[in-house]
Amino acid sequence: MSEQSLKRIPFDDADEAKVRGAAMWMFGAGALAALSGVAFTLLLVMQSEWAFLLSGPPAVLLGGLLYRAGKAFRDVADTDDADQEHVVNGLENIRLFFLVKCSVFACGLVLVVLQALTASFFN
Amino acid sequence: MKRELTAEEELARIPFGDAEEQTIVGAAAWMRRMAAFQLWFGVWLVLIVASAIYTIAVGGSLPGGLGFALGTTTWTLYLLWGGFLLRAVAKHLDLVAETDEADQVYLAISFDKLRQYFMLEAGFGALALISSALLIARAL
Repeated sequence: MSEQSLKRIPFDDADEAKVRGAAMWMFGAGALAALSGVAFTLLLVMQSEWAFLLSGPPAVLLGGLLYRAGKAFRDVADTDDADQEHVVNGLENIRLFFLVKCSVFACGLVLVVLQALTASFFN
Repeated sequence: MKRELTAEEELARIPFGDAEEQTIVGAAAWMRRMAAFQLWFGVWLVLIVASAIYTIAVGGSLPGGLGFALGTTTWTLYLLWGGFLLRAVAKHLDLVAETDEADQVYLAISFDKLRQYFMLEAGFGALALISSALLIARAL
């Protein structure tokens, strides 16, 4: 943390609306991701379909990270106690969100390629 | 003792420490990677949509029909639009960390682009939720 961390970043009303809007859509996207993650995890258990391993539990984690990021960004707009700290907290959660999302995307890609190679090998 | 910042300084520089700047640069780097994934797949899907349009134009029938065409087009728009938004956010976050010319303005632009990206993400999340509910209904 910097020595001179700003309690207030002087956003005007229009900018605060953008920050609040970003936080609101993060809550929305996070809630939908978490719900679909739970549903896909349920499908994973019901059908033992391993493809859902990549779309179930990670989506719940992504939803949680978005919730935390949204909360930090909402605090930037609604409070003036530690704006700079809230910005960094929000961005840390966003960093983790994209790290997990990229990893899931890469794993999915590898699985698709492996499946295609296996199918062509056995055919 | 903390020094009060002038209005010009507040707009030009937010005093992020080294560790905080690393977090900002790290977030921008992962956004850029995700944007690269999205844009590559978006371009790939554009080729699929183009081949589908060509198939229809020469009087052929699409495997999967209209549902396939609509689904692929939706995915293409989500991937390309989201990819460009993420690249814009990453560029402005890098400017926040690496320059001291207008940190607050760049941060506000980043929030605006993030808002648009997560609007798209919410739409995609709603589609994922609907498809998972349909799959559960079929399994029961």
